[in-house]
Amino acid sequence: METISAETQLIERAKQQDESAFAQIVNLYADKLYNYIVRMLGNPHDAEDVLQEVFLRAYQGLPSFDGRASLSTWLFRIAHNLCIDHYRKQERRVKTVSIYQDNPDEADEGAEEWEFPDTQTPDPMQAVLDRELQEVVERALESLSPKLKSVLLLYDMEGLSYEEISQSLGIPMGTVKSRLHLARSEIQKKVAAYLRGETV
Amino acid sequence: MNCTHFEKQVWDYLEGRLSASERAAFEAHRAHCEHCQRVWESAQHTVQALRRLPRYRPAPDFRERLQARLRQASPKPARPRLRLGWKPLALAPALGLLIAFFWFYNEPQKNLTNLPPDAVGTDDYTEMCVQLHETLETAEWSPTPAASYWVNTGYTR
Ligand SMILES: [Zn+2]
Repeated sequence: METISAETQLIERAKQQDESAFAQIVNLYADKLYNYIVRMLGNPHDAEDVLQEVFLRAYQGLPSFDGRASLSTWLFRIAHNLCIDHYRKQERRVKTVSIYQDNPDEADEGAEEWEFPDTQTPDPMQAVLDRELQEVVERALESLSPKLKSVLLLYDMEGLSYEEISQSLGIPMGTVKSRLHLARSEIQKKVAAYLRGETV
Repeated sequence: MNCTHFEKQVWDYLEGRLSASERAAFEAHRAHCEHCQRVWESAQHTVQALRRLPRYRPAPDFRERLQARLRQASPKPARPRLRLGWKPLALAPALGLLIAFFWFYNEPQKNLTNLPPDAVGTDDYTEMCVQLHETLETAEWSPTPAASYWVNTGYTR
């Protein structure tokens, strides 16, 4: 209860154009939203622009934020919509490139390699296995459709509840659950193949 | 419990969403089915790996750049206003016509009385819609949409 009232107070202060209150909102949610955006887009190139846009829209939309959803749900909803916009733009761009460009390799010029942050595991052998498994999961995650990926990220990485995801994405709870199962099963198939020693 | 049923329940089991009896049936099946033992292991690995995925963080100077951008942003106008750009401008008349059609066909009695007299007798649909559009534009009509509307449409207020 205390958290809710603290959040309400923060929102009220931000609505009164209290800059420090909005800065606090940014501090609370920037990391979570950025991680979601990077993983939805599949690379960090445009993630900062999208994140800035999220906060810009939140800043401008805050006066009409009615508190029916939580702040986190609302921000993820904005972030999700912008990611989907980004997907559509990318799709159009790829189509245009494939029609007008002779050298299709240039279409990928924005997609350079990106580094995985290190995770700490004490046992070196286990570390290698974990790393391999993690890469299998990373690749499987990237290959998911945006519909499945968004639900999986919000649930398994960001820890949102079914209800919060339902509000963020504007889909029924039953759909959240079925998409989550489907997404996990897609990844599980690749993990199972890896565990059987197949090349994934 | 068969293998299909087991596979359906594996995620709920991992999250502790099964009842005691469902859990017992699940575990009993797993104990004697090699296939489902493998399903179980891969599901466990999947969830663990997903929860341990590395997180990405914005660059340290992100907040400064955002601050600069927010300062440039117009401080929340009181009334809804169109952002300058061709897309919304081009959509506006179409939206007006759509609303006009909807209103006209749903509540003809009520709305016809509100129209200027010369709007009623015409056979020209386009002309009628234009008139309806104008009537709507000048009518006292101020909706209060949900926050998400402004966000999704790119309108600001
Ligand atoms: Zn079985």
